[in-house]
Order: sequence, then C-alpha cells, then structure tokens
Amino acid sequence: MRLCPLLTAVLGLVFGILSPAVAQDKTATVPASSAASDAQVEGYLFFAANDASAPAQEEKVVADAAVLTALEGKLKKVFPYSHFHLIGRHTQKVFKEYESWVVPSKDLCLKIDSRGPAAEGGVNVHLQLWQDTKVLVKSDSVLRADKPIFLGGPHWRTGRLIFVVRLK
Amino acid sequence: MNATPPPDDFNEELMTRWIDGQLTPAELEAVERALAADPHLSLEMESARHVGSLLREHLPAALEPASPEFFTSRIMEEVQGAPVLALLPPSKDRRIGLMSWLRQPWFAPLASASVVALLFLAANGSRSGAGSTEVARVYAPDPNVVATAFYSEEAGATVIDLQGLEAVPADREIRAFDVADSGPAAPGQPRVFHAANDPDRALLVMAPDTVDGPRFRELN
Repeated sequence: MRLCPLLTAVLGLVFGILSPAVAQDKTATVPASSAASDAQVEGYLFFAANDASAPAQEEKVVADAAVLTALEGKLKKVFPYSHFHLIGRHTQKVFKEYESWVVPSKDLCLKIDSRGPAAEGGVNVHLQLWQDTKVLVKSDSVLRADKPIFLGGPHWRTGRLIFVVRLK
Repeated sequence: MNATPPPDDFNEELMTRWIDGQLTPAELEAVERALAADPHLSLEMESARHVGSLLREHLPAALEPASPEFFTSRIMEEVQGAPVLALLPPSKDRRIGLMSWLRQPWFAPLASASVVALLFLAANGSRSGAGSTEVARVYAPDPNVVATAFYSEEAGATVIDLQGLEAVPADREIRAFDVADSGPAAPGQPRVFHAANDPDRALLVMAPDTVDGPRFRELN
C-alpha cells in the first residue's frame, strides 16, 4: 500500500519521538545501589465492604492510625461502602529512571515509573496496576503530598479491592 | 528536470518538497503558475501546508511523551471526537488526481488527530494543577474494562475507577502483607520484599524480568 509522503512524515515524526520512551520501558531494570530516589510512596490494599468483619489474613498489617483514619474518611466519600479493611501495605522508594513496584499483595500490585518532579511539587508518575500477570490499567498521574490516588479494582466476595497510593 | 514542469509532474513528491520549501526556483515558478490557474489545487495545497506548519510549530525539538502506551488510544479518541473538516468537492481535473488522498475521508480526521495528539503530548509534560493530584490519562488494555479517572474535591484524591473487571473468585484467598521498602537490588537479580516488622524475614521474591508482568514466589 502506498502511503502519501505527508502522512508518512507525520507518522514517522510521531513514532520517532515515541520510540525512545518505549525502549526505556523495555529495558527498565532494578537500580544500582547508588540510584537516587524521587520520592517514597505508600501503597495500601483495602477490602471495601459493608460487612464489619475483616477477611481472615495470616499477616498482620500495621499502619499509622491517623493516616489510616484519614484515608478511610476519604475513601468513604468516593466508594459506597461502610467499611474499609486494610489487608496489605507496602512502603517503597521510587527511583529515578527505573521501575519501582509497590506490592502489598502479590495478587494486586502497582508498578511505578517516576517521570521526575512535578512543576508545583510532587512527582510525575506512570502507574500500572497489575492483577497477577495482567495489567488492569495504565495511568499518567502526579502524586502530590496529601493527595492520594485511589484505584478501584476488582470485586471480591461481598466487596471490592481498592488500591491506594500516596506520597509518604 | 524541466525548467517548467508540466502539470502531470504535480505529484506527491513535488508537493512535499513545496511544503518543506525545497523547490528550485524553476519548480516553484511552475507550481505557482499551476496554483494560480487552479483554485481547487491551490486550496488543497494550502491545506496540506497548514498541517505541516502546525506540526513544525507545535513539535518541540525534544519531547518525551508521558507514556507511549497512550498514543494509539489518544489518536483513536481524537479521530472519534474530531469534527470532520469540510472537504472540497471532487475536482474534475485529472491533474490533481495524484493528490486525491487529501480528499480521503480519513485524511482530515487523521491530520487533526495527529496535530491534537501532538499538542496534547507537548502540553502534558508541563501540565500541572493547583496543588492537586492529577490524572492526565488512563488506559485499560482490556476492551471489556472501562477506566474512568476524576479528581474528587470532596475526598481530596484522584480516583481511577475500573468497571467491567472480572471478579476475583470468592474462594480465592488474597495474600497480602505488610512490606518494608525493598531497596535497590543488583541488575538482573530477583527483587526480594521483606516484612515491615522483621527486616530479616523475606516474604516475596519477584523475578527480574517484568516485561510480561510480575512473577512472584512466596516464601514461607
């Protein structure tokens, strides 16, 4: 099929611009020990339900009570559930130019690629929410202090799994 | 090369070089004569040159897109949402037949979408809000999943809501942990996650290759 020169030029320009970033994603590995971090984030996995009894968990999860209370208050304003049971938590540095993983659960985890500091504070990030080996959603976001990101995930039993990420 | 190319030489290559300002004086003179004699041709050439100038004007010399994964979805969204530009009526003049792609239904939306997508990409890098967490774009690879992003003023949080996901089977246990900062690991080596309350206790090991998704081994 013959493509017109202008169209070819347009597509060439665009894909030429995009290709380095694609390559960067493919080659992302773990950082060297000297790698600098852009931020430290906390990932929380909640089970939201109207049932007050939390699901049985082998591992005990401890979080700052004030942070947890504030998060639950915010979650209630978005998701129509009365109880938000914290079942997993992971604090993780986010490294420049390398992928970071927030893994409060191996069943639902978050890949974070830092895109550097945001103009008015916080960090530009590319997020990928994974369930097992399937990526559920990709997002470009800005993480700012006291402004968490809520990811409403799959339903489970009588409620729903919700992943929360915030700057620590 | 003829000093005054005949109209049949009015091909795509000539038009591209005209857009880029690379014609010889003789070619330019011939083109201008042809344009003056044919209003349809003139309009189409101007339209093509306009697209080219928009691209040059808004394309930064070095642009790192926020995420290349979103390119296709952005283009498709813009194609679906872009108004179809008024297209010229077909010309009866066969001399411009070689540029008939300009009148193809897909050209105007695609050109518009390309420009808009590039503008979006260019603007996205410096986009910032008034102190709020922002979601520039969300993309769910599974076509059955609808991803919606919004900022909740009431909650002071960005919300990414996923609808259409398969529910996790009720009999499946969700294995969750309280995990400490994993710290850096050597290149090519598995990443080990330790318990927050016991730095010596390894909980999970993640395989180093995550291109096809994370693969974990749980440690008891």
